[in-house]
Amino acid sequence: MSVVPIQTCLGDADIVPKEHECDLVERAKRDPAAFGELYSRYCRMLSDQVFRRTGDVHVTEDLVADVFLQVLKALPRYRHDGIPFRFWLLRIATNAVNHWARRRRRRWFLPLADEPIADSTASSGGIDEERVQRALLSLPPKFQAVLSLYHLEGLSVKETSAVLGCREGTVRSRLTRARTALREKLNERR
Amino acid sequence: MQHPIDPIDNAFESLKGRAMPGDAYNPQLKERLMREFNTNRSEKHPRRRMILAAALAFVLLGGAGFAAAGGVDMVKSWFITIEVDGEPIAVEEFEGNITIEEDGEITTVTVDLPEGAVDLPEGVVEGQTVTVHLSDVPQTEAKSSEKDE
Repeated sequence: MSVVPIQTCLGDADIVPKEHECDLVERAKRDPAAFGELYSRYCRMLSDQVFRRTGDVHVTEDLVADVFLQVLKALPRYRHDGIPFRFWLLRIATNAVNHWARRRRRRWFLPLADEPIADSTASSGGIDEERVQRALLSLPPKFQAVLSLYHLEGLSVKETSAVLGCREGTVRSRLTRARTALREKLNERR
Repeated sequence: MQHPIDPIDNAFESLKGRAMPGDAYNPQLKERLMREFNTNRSEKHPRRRMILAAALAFVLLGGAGFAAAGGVDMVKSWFITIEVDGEPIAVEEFEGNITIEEDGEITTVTVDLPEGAVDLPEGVVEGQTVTVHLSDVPQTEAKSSEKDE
């Protein structure tokens, strides 16, 4: 079995000392240049996270722009005694992608099984990552969010619950149901 | 015995390594955000002024409407009652003036009523004792005198 290198999902922002992040966030509430710096630091992290869910570059660019515009409006209300700033950003991004996924489901109600998909790993018995991504996108947005944060972003259950603003028990329950739903989607298309 | 690896977990591991192709940093977006920052912050002050102006207009109009609907008299009635021999006079019909004068130990309350302005109980004549109750002043009794306007 080959080893898949795992990218640091949270990007360079992971190594920013917390006190510097707090100072930058406080400055960004008043100073547009500081807000620009916030964008520079977190654009990669958010772009990768959104792309892993949507799989589309253009959609990702649009959503990341929307996310930062929402951050601009909501930043004055952000408090450090709540969730860490990165998780607060992830929450806004998750909600933006959920909103996009709901609109997409209403517009594109073709069942996933009808889409022509080439399963390149069928012979090896594995599951093509494209299939997994499309199956993921066919799930309800709250299932997509929890699977994405836990499996794709590598957050713990506790961190996932902080981002989603729900209890850890809820996250565990949704993870179980989401995986079951994903497996059923993938089995439908065989 | 090794547990078989869930193929879904393998697929997630592959997806985990995916990154947005190209440069995620967009200088045009950064400039736009900085422009929007200034617009967003400066819009708040005019909005506050508008809200204050609207609230002031509401208070003024509401006050005028309240006064026109007899609200002032209603408020007056909360503080002053006029009784003649224990029988209250309808305050909403009161069209006179009440003057209170203090001279050392003596407080004189003069109630001026226009002729016919108030329906006095039967038998009330000029010089009748009037009891005036004021909210912050102990009960006093004063002579009434009906005066022509």
